[in-house]
Amino acid sequence: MNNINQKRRIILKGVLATSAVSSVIGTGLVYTYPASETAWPKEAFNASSVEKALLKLTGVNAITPNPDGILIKAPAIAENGIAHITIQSNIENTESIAIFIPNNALPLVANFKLNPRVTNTITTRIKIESSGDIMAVIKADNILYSATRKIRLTATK
Amino acid sequence: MATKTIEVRAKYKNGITTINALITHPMEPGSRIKNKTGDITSPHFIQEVTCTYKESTLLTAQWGIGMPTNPYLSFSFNGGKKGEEITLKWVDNKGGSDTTTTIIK
Repeated sequence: MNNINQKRRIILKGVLATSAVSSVIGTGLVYTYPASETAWPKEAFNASSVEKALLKLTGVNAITPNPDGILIKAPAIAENGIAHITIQSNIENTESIAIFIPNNALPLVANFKLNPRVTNTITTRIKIESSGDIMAVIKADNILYSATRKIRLTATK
Repeated sequence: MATKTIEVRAKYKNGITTINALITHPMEPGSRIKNKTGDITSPHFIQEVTCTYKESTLLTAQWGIGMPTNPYLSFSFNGGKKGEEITLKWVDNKGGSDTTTTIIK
């Protein structure tokens, strides 16, 4: 009889211990998930103009055109509405590279935040909805530099 | 996620490591009309891609609906070594995500 009682105690202890551990893990999951959600700048992506989007994204208003410091490699004609582009920044302390298509209803396409170790070049593919400009905006030392390049769309999707 | 959605390669040459990544994702902008039903599709796109190397974030890409289906990304960084690990992760607006780790070659 005594033996059974002891076993029951051990089982009870075990149940209590596991429930305590699982509650800790549970709260951990709930806590970390929204952090990655809020990091995405929703207001910048919903902005209707390049200036508004940049203000929401970086907090800086003025844009300095710098066509010599930024190189945009893109085809002259975007086939099937998709362009393979390379953006290279020759500006020191480049912190981020943002890609805009000013003609789009929502101009901000992508924003890349770079570690100082990253060579300031990004290659990616973007959708082109109509003929017009591609704009690259580089943030360095809290100043925004921009460059544009024209692209033509032939095939319609 | 059962199927692998990230195809990533990291290559070291002359002190620079280049990373090429192709992600399989519909990147649905939410403005198309489904032919069969006439409903407007709901947006489904990758919001954030992060690349980590030795516990430091190399690159954070924030994407909108202007990125095409199956997005491609390439960049390089100074340093790296053959045999070291690179981790790539994406998160989409519906809470879906995938992570993959590759070895620098």
